[in-house]
Amino acid sequence: MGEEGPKLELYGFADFSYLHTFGSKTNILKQYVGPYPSFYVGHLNLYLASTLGENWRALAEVRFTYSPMGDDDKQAADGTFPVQDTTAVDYAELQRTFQWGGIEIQRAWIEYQPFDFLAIRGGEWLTPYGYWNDDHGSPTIIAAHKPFPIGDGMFPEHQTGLIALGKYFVGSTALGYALTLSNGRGPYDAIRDLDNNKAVGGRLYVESSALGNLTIGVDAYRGRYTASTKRYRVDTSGSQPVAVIYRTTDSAYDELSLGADVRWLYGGLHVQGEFMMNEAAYDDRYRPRTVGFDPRPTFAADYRRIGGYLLLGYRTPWLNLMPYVMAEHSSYTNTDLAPPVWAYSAGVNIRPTPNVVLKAEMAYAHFLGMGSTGLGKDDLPYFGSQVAWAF
Amino acid sequence: MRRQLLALVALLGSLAAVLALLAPSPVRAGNDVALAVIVSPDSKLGNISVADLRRVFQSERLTDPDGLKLIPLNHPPKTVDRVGFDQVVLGMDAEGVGRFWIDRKIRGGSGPPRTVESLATLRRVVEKLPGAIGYIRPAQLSSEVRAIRVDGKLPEDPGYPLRYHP
Repeated sequence: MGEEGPKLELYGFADFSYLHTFGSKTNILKQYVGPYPSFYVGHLNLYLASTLGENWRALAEVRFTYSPMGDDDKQAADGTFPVQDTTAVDYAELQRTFQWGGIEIQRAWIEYQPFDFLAIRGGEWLTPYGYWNDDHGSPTIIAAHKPFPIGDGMFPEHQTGLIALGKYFVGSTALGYALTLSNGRGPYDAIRDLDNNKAVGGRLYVESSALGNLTIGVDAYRGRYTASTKRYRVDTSGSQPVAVIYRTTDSAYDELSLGADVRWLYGGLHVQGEFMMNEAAYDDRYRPRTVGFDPRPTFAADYRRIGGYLLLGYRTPWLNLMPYVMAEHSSYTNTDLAPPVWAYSAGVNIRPTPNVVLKAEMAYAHFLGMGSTGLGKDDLPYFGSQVAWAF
Repeated sequence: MRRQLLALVALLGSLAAVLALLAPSPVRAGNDVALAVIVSPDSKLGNISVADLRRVFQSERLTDPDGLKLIPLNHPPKTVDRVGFDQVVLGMDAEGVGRFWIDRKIRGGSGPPRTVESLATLRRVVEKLPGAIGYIRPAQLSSEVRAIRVDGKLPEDPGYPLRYHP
């Protein structure tokens, strides 16, 4: 860097997957996830990194996605679930058609590190909890699928605000921390906080290289979720009519998430587990209706959900092959649609070069109950495979 | 089906446990080739621990007694001394180092230290660039650079930690 300005570094990752669900045609979850074996490109993430000065650094990560094409999860007024069609004519190709997709900003932050033990980031960042959310990219994570409790967002995946983080070293042991202040969770929290209550959180961890590499951490997040609708009215009480803009709250709850995690790497051995809890208490004035077959009006209950996973793997010196097993649980007490689930998977992760990862796994999801719509009526076995690459 | 899956899970779990017991310890110092850690003759840095050296060469921020940020300069990947240094200091082989940096960048961390192709350039950059730190064999030392102690020892001292089998 110099008079010519900062240099931009471009890199990223992508993955190509194959998913094959098993079970009968009446298996609701099979129909929901994908009734037929399918190939798909899951991620195409591009990183833009730059060192901006002596203690300044910036990073942005965007995901290119085919969505919203094919989204068939939103119910129309007539009760059907129409598929989102993004077909458009290509004006550059004689009005032939193509399907457009979208871009998701995964993170965009600027970092200032004034001291060895302190860095401050502002922008959108991944919530610092456990390992999976931090590992984040398909070449880095071991399994071919995200564990249920991580995917269910017991902690927010991203937040927008400020984060202070750092490590303090004592010999071969590091004490690390992260403290966060953000908009918290909301319907579009990346751009707007819909209440006057900032979310706070943090992570504390100890890293020791005395016996392999052992990390133990605890995590917390506290915030308020608010969804509201902007409305307009005309105030005629004065000498002349004026427009008044106000918001009506649709849903609001206070939430607390707590987590604990451990990762131990020793030789080729890889042991990793995360355990978490998320509880929510609705504001009774803004408690939303629930969805189900029962026509009587019911309202969402306060909940405490728990979840976790434990992964055990061993990277052999041959082909950099890692057989692994994983058990996971999510209680799903935040919705009556889904019953609690236990899932087990076994697979292999092969890394022929540092940039390429091949994965294949069998997984079996077992539900403890039916759920209000029968979603858990049948268990779901499935096979997933993936090739992920960093570029 | 479920019984078969559970059996497979149990089998793989047992296999991983057995392999873990056979896991080799990370490669540590041998007694053949020593690597001297070098800084500018003007630097006030006189000693560094292996743990701090690991931090610096994993692009963690560390400052010297002058408050200057240490700037690690590495040898090109898969060269003999680079492989030895990575084994002794980072506890990783060449493949492991490659995985480490790919994973680190995907997590959003900073990238690897810059590499310098020739020894002459490395010595010159270490001499001129404030905060620069590198490593060379003791026989390659010149007046441009100064070797510092590692865990209180110089390369000729018994028990010097930066030694490896080439």
